Amino acid sequence: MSYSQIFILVLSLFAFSYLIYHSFGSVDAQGFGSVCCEETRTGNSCQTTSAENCNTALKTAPTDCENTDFCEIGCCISENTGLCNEMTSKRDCEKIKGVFKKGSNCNVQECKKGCCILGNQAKWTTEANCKFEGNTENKNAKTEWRLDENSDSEIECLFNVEKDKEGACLFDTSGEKKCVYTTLGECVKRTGSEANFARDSFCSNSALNTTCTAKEKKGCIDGGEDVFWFDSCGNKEEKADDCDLFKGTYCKKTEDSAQCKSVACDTNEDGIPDRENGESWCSYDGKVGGGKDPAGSRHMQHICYMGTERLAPCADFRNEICVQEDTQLENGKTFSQSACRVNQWRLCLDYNKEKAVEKMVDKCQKNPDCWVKSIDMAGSFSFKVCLPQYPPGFELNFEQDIINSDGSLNEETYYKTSAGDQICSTATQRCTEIWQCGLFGCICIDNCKCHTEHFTKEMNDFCISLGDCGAYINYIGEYSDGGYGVKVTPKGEAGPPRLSSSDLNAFKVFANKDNNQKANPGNYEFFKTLNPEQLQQVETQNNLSSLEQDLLKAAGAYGSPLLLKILTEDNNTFGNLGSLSAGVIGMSRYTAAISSVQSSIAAQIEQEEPEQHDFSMIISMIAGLIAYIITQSLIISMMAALLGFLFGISWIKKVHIDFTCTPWEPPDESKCNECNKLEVPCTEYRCESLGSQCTLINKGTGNELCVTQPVNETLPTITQFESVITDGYAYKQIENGVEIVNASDNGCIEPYTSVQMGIKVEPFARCRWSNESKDSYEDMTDLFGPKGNYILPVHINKLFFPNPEAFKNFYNLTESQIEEIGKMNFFVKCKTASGKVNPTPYQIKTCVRPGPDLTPPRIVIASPQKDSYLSYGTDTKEAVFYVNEPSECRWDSGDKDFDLMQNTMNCETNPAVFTHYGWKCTTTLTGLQNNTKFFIKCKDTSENKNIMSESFVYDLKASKSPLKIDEVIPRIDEKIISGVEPVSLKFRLRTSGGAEQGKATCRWEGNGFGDSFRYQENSSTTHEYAVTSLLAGAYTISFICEDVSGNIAENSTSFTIDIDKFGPRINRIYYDYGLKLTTNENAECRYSFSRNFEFDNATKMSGAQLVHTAQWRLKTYYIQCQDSYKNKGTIISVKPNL
Amino acid sequence: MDAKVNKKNSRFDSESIKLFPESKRSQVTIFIIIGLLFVVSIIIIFLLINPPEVKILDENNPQAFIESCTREAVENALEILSEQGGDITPKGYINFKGKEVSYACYNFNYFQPCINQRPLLIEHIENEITNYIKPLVNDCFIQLENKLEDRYDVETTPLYLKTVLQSKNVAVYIDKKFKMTRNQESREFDNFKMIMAHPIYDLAEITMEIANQESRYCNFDELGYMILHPKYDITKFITGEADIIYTVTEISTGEKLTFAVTSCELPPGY
Repeated sequence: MSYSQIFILVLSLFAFSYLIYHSFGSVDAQGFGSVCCEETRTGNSCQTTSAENCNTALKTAPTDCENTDFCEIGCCISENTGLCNEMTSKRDCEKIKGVFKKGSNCNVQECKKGCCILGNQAKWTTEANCKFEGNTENKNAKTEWRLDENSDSEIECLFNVEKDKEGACLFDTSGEKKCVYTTLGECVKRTGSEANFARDSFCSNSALNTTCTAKEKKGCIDGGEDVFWFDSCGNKEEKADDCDLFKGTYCKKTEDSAQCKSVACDTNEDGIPDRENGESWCSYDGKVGGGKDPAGSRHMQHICYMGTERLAPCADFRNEICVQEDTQLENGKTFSQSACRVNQWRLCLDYNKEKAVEKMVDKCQKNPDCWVKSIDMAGSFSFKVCLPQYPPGFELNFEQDIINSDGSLNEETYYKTSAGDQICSTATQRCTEIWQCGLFGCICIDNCKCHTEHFTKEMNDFCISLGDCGAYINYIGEYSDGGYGVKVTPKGEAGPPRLSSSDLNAFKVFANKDNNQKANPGNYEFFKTLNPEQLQQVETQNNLSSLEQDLLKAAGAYGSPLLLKILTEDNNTFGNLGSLSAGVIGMSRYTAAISSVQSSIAAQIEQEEPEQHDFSMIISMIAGLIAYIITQSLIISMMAALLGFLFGISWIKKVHIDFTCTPWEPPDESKCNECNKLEVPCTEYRCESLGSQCTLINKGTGNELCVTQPVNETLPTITQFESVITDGYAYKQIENGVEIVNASDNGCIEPYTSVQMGIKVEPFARCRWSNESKDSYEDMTDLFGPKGNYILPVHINKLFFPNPEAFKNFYNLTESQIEEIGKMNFFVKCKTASGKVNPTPYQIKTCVRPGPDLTPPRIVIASPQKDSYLSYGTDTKEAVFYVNEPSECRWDSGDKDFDLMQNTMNCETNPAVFTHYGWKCTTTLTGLQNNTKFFIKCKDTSENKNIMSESFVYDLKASKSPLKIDEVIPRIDEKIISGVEPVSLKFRLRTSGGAEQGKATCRWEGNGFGDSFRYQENSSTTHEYAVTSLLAGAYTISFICEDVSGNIAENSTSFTIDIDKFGPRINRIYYDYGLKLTTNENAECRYSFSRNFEFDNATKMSGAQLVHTAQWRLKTYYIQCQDSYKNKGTIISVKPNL
Repeated sequence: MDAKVNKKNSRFDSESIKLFPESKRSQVTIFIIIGLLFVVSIIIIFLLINPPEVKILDENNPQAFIESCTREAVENALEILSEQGGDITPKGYINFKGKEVSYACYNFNYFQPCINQRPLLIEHIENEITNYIKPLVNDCFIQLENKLEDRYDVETTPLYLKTVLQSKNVAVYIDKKFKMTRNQESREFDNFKMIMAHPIYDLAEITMEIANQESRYCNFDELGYMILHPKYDITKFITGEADIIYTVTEISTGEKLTFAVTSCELPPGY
């Protein structure tokens, strides 16, 4: 290795220095420090947020709202209207004088919906609301609420249930005979007698002697699809034209008449309707799927309704995707259904947590929103990773105040890692090429494609599939290539080229619109995995009626095209109306997915050290071959081969190729107006994707406009950020730059010390740096600090240098070389939003204090971390320790001198092979059953061979007993009976033993579903999972709990749910010394002689089981029965005869 | 200009025909008069097109006066409520197209389903209308008293008022005794009532259904709902911040209710 290579190697250490200090941050931006506000400052009630958002005049509690009394979430029922409000806080419910019930989904008898018949209308509502609607001022009409096998869904209620028949209602006004066409109930209310009602007769009937003449004109009725005749008195008569909304016609008024008119849509404006009413379809800005959605693109749903095309944009940032399913109709036409549903990209990253690659691949392939990317660089750098089909969008600007009012840096804001930074960094990978070198050259023996353009292209593809990362295009096809970097270490070695302009231009094709592409809705298997709490409803109920099948063709009636897919696959399944959502999510648990991708890749690309002898044989053979070609002498060539073999003149060369994936950067040339042109609403994200100078005005008003900021032609000017410099250090002005010096003596900075420094840039800009003064901005691969890729007024970096003397032995360096290595010069270039770059780089000069390495090595981090738990019965454990400089390490169960320690570690001492945490040492700790405390010491490789004076004490904790699941609820063979469907219940577990006295995280699986229990911080020995939508049936559920040490406990339960949601049916009514009736189940029956029957006010019949008796009277009985679950049967009327 | 005019009309005898007065003051006066006539005629035309509503008081039927006056107050209230998510003074709202639109269902946190912010919306709107119209209805009675005070002695009791929303209409019940006495002849009125056709009850019910579905499924399928209930039109606008603005319209009357929902908001990134 040349001197310059060593120099560059040492310099390259700084590149990741800031990561060492900021790589342990949590990705969960919410959680910590949250309180429950009874009301926020903005007036929203019961929100879990940070304390400063709370209205201080009202209650707050340092916990989630669901754990508080005042903001308990449940069901709020109106005693007035009988309507129910789900997911309501107790506080708001009581404030409005509602009745609060536990259970946020209102799965209670009072909220059970049935079919309410209000005269000639029907409504799917609660029983109490049915009564309310019947008793209102303007009606006071007879109502009937029923829920039975024939009226079990809203569709059946609205379309199939028989309503009250209409007829002519006759009455006198001022001596004149008048007539209205209405129901019997209305007629009785108006005239006081049933005798005035002529059933099935129109007012124009000549026998009725009215002045009304038949069929005077055609008209529509409010909310009705058909055309009706109306008589001269304005009364509805028979149907004139049979329109069918579901087949595309609807009653439309003309000047003095009405007719069935088409409600299909002419979307291409050629005068011919091409989309049916109720049809919905998707459109996209460019390519969708395959990880190629352009930055700023948004999926759009189109709906044809009543002859008008509507646009419904899916959620921005591609958080929702528009999925489409086309069905072939009997008439040969295609009918499209679409929905915006949640993009499950987070799951794709989460799948990489699977330890077995095959399992990850299997899960990934089953999820239509994911795809498996295989990267193969002809060697150990080969891995598979599960990536999003539809990469998510990220915020393209870092719009937070990073400078405090006093001019100092707001560190918390500045160092807060953005989602884009974190997710894109998943594709930041190092490929190490291994070369076997001999006297006559080198042969690549591992990862030999890493220095080719194949590596750049493949890694960039990986990078852009993660989200708005890497070099790619925006939705109008403008590319930028600032989102990635490739770097070779040691410098001077052959490395992969950057993407060429033709490579970048090739991306433009992905901005072309293609009407034939559509996002895949997914199948039932996939659908089941999305929301185990709610989707079970899909599984039961049978037999679609022909009407329902007609309705199904009419698009969104069932809420989602996904259901159509399910129905297509299995015609025997049918879900409740509206019970299915395209947008169900429950994915907050996937926040740890990002780190899992990294570790998954790391596990797959584990590189083995090549065995020297095998390859030296090859080298010697090559040496011999070359000698033969040159000399044409077999003897000389054999001698050359022999010498090569005997003296082992071969060595291994490692070339590191780093691919850095960072968030995608908007192009310099801003075409902001494009955002205002198209039919898709312009949002901040969409606007900013069009260029660095694009900004959205009138945000959130509905009148948003994307405008170009004034072009600033000024070149960026860089100065030091005075308020940011580590204590003890100072800036010293030099020509066109700054020197960082020790404040006490203007000398060099101390080795192994992190020095924070910053620059100010005006106009605001992105900044990069390099150790080469001649590098252009594009050539510079390292961002200046963690926010180097954002246009900001300041950029901060941390410098961290080892002592160059530490490398003396490894590289046989001279004193002067060591001193020279200690002098550091960096060059910074920044690029403004207008694309202007400072022509002369800004110089940052510093040096590491020369002199012998007197500092002993230090263990930076251990894995498993100190004080970690061991699972029950563990006797050996693999452990990894990272040291801050190349060292040799040993361990022992007692605190001894380094040389006396019994056990050695396998440590990396090559200065080139460093990680983000330092140099890696691995070992296997043994005898853990007897001892869990270990002492570790390291000796560095410097001239002084510094040894740690104090041992690093590494303590582990043993599990004293196995983890157990002691209690499972519902219990085995428990039978749960409910009067409402679906049923809400809680899975409850109690765990004990293990590492932390039963504290564990649990998950469940069963009946094709599965999910994790929510972690409850204070009582994690008890676990609850609320299942809100269980249907009748048998359930077998397995539970698996795992504690922090990896102890696993399993248990299971089997239970059944019986639903009795229908009221008792009256089988027979007869005379037997009174009125007698029998019911199909035990019931309480009541009767009344009033048409306006009310169960609570009616007379109780004798008998509480199957037979019920009442007095015999020659009057019309109105009878209703109720079972023990408060389900009421249909009211029947019976008139005894003599 | 005067010179030009005089020159143009030079064939007329300026002494005998004084079409344009010579003094400037007179000219200005004429211009003012013409201007005033113009303004007055505009006002007359405007009044003919849009005559002001004159509340005619039938002494035998003061209920009609109160009903008309109350109706006007309720209409104003409904206009505000329908644009602001059912609130007269929105609390917990989003600014949309210049209006403060209240959240019917809201959750600050990413991924979390919304919490119902206006449970029992029908009762809430009843209260809002009552609070809004109460002082206005009181003014109605004061106006009535003022109109009658020349001819009658008027005695009243405090005002109690109740608003009831029902399907397709809004009813206001006013409990106030109003006694008119003249020449020892008294007439007493109480229990005034105003019922007007308005679909606010039905629109509020749909709003509650949308809030329920958003809180349960993080979604409401407006197309499915409209196909089953073609009387109503529901539009959904998703802002860049993932707030949803719903507008529910009863097609036959054109009456609307606009409200906002933020449920299961998904962050950019994780």
